Amino acid sequence: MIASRSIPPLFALLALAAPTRALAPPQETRPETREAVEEEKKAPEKEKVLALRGGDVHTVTAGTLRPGVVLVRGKTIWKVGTDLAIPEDAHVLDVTGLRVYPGLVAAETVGILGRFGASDSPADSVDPFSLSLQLASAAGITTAVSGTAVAKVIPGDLADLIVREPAFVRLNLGTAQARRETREKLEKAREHLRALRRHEVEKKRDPTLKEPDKKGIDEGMLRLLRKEIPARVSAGSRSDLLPVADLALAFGFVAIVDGAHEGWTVAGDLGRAGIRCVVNPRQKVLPDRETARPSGSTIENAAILRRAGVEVAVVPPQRSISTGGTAGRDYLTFPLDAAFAMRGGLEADAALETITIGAARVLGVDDRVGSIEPGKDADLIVASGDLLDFRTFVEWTIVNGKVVYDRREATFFSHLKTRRDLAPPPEPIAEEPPPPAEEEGEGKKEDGGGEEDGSRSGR
Amino acid sequence: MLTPAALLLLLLPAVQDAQAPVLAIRVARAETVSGGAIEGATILVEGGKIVAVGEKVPVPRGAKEVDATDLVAVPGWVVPFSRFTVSPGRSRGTNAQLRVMDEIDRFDEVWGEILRRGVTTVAVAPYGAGIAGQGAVLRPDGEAAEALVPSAFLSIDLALETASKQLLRQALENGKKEIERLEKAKKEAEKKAESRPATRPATRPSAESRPATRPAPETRPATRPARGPATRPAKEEPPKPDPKLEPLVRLLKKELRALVSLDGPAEVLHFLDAARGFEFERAIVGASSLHLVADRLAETKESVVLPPEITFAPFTRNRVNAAAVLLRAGVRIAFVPSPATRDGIEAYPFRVGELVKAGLPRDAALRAMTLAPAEMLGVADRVGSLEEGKEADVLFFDRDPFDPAARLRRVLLGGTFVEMEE
Repeated sequence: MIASRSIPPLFALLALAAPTRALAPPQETRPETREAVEEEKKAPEKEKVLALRGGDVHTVTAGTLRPGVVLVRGKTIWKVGTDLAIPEDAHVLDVTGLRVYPGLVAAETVGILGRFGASDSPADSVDPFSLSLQLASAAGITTAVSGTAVAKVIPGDLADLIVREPAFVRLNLGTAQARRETREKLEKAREHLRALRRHEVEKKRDPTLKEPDKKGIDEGMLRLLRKEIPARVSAGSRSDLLPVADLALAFGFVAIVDGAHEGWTVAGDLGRAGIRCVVNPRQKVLPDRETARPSGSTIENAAILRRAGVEVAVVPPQRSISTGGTAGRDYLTFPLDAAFAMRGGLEADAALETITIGAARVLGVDDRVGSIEPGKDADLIVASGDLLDFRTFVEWTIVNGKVVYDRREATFFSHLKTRRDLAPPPEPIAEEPPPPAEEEGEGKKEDGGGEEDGSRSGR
Repeated sequence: MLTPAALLLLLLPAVQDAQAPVLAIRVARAETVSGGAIEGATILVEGGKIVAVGEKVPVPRGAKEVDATDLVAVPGWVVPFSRFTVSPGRSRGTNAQLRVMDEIDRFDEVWGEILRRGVTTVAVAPYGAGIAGQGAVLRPDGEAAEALVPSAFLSIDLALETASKQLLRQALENGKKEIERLEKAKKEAEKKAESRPATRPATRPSAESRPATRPAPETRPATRPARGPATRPAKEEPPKPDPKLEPLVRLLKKELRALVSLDGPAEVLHFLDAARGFEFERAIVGASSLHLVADRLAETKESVVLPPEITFAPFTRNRVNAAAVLLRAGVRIAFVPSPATRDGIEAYPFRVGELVKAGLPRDAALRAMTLAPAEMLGVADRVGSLEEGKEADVLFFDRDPFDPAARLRRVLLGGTFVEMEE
């Protein structure tokens, strides 16, 4: 910019020196300057910085900054810290008194992404204006599984939708016959991989050798065995879970298990086999009276699995958004299910993980989403209070660096008066008084005092 | 379907008109659309065309003068999308080679009925999902609808399904490949023609290796008798596109435009996604709630055809003037009567008037019924406004056409007054 501005005076000098050519140089510079202007216009677009300032930042993987700053540049998180310089031209979202979390990861959904069933890729079938999708975004969900794809939840847009596709191979291991067939397919695929490796060696001696025939080899099984993607299986009871663990150990692939209500009875086995579980803490299955061993479901399932080293993602009882009005039933109140896992003994931090980084790890997309770390996708939510508190609202949802949901302007929630609207939220129970607040000058301090008063009178 | 003889027959009355005297119509106001409104204007018509419009137009001697000084003149309505006289029922697929002109009933009564309600140009699209075929632009003469452009646009109908999106992408891809193939073939043919000495022609491979691909030289001799073919097959025919792909080739070469029917904002995004990387002229037809993607439509300078309706914002009872929102965002808009039937057309100007009441600029509204759709159909050089050189298609209302009390008194089609119902 400075350079382009300095050009005209230079030419003016030239023009003075050679009056006969006075007109020529400026004509030549015009396109240059025009380009420069266009470049300038483009550049901030690319480098646009969004700053979330003043709120507590729950990074999930690297503790909580009270308060912290998150800088988003373009589509990714740029910097996270307590004392960051905010660029002058940054778009600042003042979230003082609020909490910043990573966007929530829904490990299994039905009908949120995609209008025409799970068989279509969201890239070709998502309706970004659908009611469910907009409500999912309002609930803080930024990543969701549909079919075999992991995709972003972006109201009103299709850009940068897919995180991973296919993200896993769905297997049916529900019956003895299905297990036998899968085992056969896996054996064939393993044999093929061995043949390929042999071929690699033999080819060096005899380049005319043909590559082993791929006929009858299941491509999905090959990808499993190469550990490119995990398998995904529905299994609930002990007798369904153990064969999955066996198969995963025997063939060395990773498996995601949906359901796993008796996972707590075989948590050690699942942990050893590297099984990842997608559970609903409130799932109810009565114990089997015929057996002496522990059986049935328990609210402690998620906690026990976690202790055994099983990566756990929590999902609600219904994998959709039904808008039926019953609270805590579906994705409309997603964080509540993590809170139910707490009821079963899971620590608060671990509970938060089951709907953020834990779910991302289960799906194998934790390199992109699930926590607030520099370099990761800028998928963030700003909540009015503790996310696992039943009174908390999501105020803003940000996906790929763009604000896609703003409660103040949203059709469905802007008219609801929340705690925060009526009275400022209560101060977090002060383990330590936050020292930065004192440094920030008197104005801030007064605000803080006011909030405290307000919350008292509010109660 | 029009044989040259039939065309001649159709042209005959026009030729006779040309000898008819000059028509000088004096009106209270002429809303030209292209050049603003002119109070106390005279419209001069000769040979079916408008020769002049203005306040002080010299009327030539012998001109037949018509006093319409109590009437307001506007251009005839241009309806950019309809299915008049086409029967429904074709399944999804890529049927680019089909032409709606082969299905239209040119002698149906409906043409006269819509003409008497002000429609002087109407686009007719074939039924069918996917790539439905080629639509036509017609002039609904009372006797027989006459094709202004028999193959005016490619009608694409996308319901949101993976299959449709992939189908469109595939079709465009095929069209692109066909263009590349044709260009390659053309270059090769030129090379051959250059390298081969003219005196020693095609006794070599061509006769044997490629007889099937060149039927042309065999059909030619019938009209141009037998001295040529044996000695001069070197005169290569330019390579011809596959008839199924030919409309797509024309589309991508911008010789044909597309009218794309979509259901809603999601479909628009999917369509723009599927069409990315392909350049072709198009208008998006008929979707509701398009105001939600107004910025995206403006980004790629899309044209939109929509019904003149105030709609509800999705999942709410909030009323939205989508046309006004789109216009403000910089999207070109045209209206289509809703429903596109004779009754829908009867109420057409009044419906548009509702949008004017709700914030749509009046001149933009009138333009969206006349010149804008003409531009989207590629016939703006012939119809859509009251200006010199255009077809004399004029409507005469007894007051502001948007006024519900307004009555369409007379219709001029190609310089001839249409017989009105009483």
